[in-house]
Amino acid sequence: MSVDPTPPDAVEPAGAARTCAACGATLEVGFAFCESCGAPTGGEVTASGPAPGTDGADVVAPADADAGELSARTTLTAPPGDESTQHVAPPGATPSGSATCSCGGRFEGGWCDTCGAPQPDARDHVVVTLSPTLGCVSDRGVLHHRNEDAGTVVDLGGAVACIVADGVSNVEGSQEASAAAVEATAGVLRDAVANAAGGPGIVDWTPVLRQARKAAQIAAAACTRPGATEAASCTWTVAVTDGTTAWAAWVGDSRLYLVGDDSRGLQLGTDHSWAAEAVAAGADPTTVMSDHRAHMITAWMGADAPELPDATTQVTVEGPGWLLAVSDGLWNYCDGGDQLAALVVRLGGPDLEATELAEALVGFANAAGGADNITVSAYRLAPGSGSGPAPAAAIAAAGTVPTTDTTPGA
Amino acid sequence: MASFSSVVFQNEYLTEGSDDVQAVVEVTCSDAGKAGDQGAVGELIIVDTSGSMQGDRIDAARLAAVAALEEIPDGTWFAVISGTNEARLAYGNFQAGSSQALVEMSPATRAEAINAVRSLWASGGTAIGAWLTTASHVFANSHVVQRHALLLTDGKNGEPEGALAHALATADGVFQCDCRGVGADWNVPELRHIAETLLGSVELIADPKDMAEDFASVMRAAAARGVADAALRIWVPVGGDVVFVRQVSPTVEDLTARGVAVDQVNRDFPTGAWGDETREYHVGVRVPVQPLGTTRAVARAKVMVGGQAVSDAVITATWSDDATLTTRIAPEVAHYTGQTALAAAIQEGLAARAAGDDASATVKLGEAVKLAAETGNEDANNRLRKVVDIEDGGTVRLKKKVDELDAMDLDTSSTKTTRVRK
Repeated sequence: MSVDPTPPDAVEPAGAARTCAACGATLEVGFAFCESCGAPTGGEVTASGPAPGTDGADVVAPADADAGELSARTTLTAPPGDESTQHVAPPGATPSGSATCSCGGRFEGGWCDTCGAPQPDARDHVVVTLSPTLGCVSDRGVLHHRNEDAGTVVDLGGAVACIVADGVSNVEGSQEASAAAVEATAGVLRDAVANAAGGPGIVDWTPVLRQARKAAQIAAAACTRPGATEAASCTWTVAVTDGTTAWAAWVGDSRLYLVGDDSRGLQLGTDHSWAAEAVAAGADPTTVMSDHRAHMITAWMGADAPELPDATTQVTVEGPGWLLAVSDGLWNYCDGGDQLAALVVRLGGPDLEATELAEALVGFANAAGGADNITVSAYRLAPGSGSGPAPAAAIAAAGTVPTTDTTPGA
Repeated sequence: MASFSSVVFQNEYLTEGSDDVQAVVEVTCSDAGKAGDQGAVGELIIVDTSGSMQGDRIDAARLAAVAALEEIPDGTWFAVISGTNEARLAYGNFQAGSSQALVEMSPATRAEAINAVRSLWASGGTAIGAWLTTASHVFANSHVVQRHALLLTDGKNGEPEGALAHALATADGVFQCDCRGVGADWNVPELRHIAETLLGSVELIADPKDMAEDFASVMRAAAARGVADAALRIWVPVGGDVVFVRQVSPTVEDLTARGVAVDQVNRDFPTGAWGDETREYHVGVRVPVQPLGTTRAVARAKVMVGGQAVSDAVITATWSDDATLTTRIAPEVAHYTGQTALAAAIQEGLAARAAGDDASATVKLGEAVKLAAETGNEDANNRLRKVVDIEDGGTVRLKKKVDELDAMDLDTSSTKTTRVRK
């Protein structure tokens, strides 16, 4: 999705093309109604990008992640003393967003009382920016009616975390389950840091990640609606890095990647999916991915989840490059570590801030079809950030090292 | 406390460039309470006492009026009007004149009223417009907020052309009126038009002996309507249009022309009083076309009681290039489209038959036979078979000898629909 860099409250620059908030068509100057859909223009500048589905193939990185907020986004004031800005949905967000439609109408029961447009959901496009090197974007995509992904990034002081959870589509409560799993995970990580304060610090995050997995599962399982026939469920993936080592844990098919500025990349761990298991058993990867079962996951969080696999890994990292946690809404269009690394470089990754890169990757997936929700949590691994080998070497090492600590399957 | 709920049946998917959306909205009222819960209730019994009523009919009408009076709850404000060339107060507050005629029901007034209706006698003409106008004045000058009348006639209106239309315009919105025709000399389309305008039912009472039970059941139903008045508010987005609004269950009533604009995007359609019941509405709207992939609310149907929305049904549209989605037809929409066409075919066929145009009557009633079969309306099918012969291969012929009561029964019942088999 491209983002118009005009802030919503800015004065419209002379000659700037205005777009209809309802349909995205270009507005003629001085017209009270959109020529395309008839929605009132309200004489207002709308700084939103085009509606999902009308995106062109071009991927435009935002010049400023704070600008061009969709009216859908909920902006929370950062806590005092926190220099970062957050644009996140409140916990357990339900359709909220603004009370006024971009056409000037008011929302009543989820729909505009003037043009009939659906009230934007705060989850449609969620941006978390903690610093230039740490950010997350979660987007509804083009085809889905709501965003059941959730993601965030956490500054743990001396370490950072990238978290993504993908709610299982079309099950009531999955949107809450993914948010609850992410929130619970962040809570466990923060508590671990608080409990370790005054000591030598956390040298091995794997036990913390296991604790977080347990907390996330409990939180996700609690989201099944009373009387529901299907349990709310989600995938879960988290990585913590201190710039030298990355610790990762996951359940399902949301992925963690290390991608280097040298266009080489690696997935940390293996999906819990029918496809991954078939490939591991020796099936041809191309044949597997065209099978209708390719996206069937074999592990998930929720009330009906089988015993969770104890899947963790630990790798040595070295910049320059990125640590990325992503949902399948992205990797469906860019499968493979090297492919993702090359895409990041092509998008200008080495020179972008974390949220800009996340937006650019979301834009890439939407331009490619946006068939699913897309979430990207990104952390910039600076050059020389660790004492380990260069990225390529780290990746080579990761290819062998993590398996010793990985326990796939229940 | 009455509660309303609604369900929408539709195919929300439109092909690219489409602007036509139809949906069936099912509205259910429960815990309606009883008449009087929202203010004083008024009840008028209007009995045709023209000369043609002499004999069995006036005897039956007396008994039926007694049966009705026995069902009217104490505390209801009521009167009985005897209708001939004019409207005469048969029972009510005689001192105050017809404009303040309502009397509060009590054991004493009920006994007085029963005595009064037992002495009703038949003589004179039929001036239905005059009866309705008097009823309008009685209600309009009263303090009652829930206003219902039961009108019995056995003949065609004898007033000069235009008088009835004028009276209906006066009565519209003042009171609701259930209409009953006894015998074979009244005019079905005429009485149906009165009932539709005044948001009431119309029934044929073929045998005068059935009249008492029918009157009693009309009064029981009226007393069970705890919601005095409600409107169906249809919203369409700016740039959209309401094409039609029809009640399609339990009977077909075209409300399209009854809409009153509330503002640029809302129109109110009258629905009258509600008891515990379910009604269905077929709504057609024309909406501003949106790009593929867009979802919009294209209509809302709210039930409004006392200025408050008590239910809200959202009709949506999603423009799609997926033909498997856009070519679906909601069974409810198809069913009621067929049932509406069935009602029209029966009415037009019988009108043609009455005008001596047997060719048109045969064509229309042939269509009706086909539609009754397609939509599974057994009652209509059985009634049609008393008017037409259906030969092997489906050819329809008008019967040579038809009992006029059977034709009137078919006509009167034509608006009754069957629900979708689910």
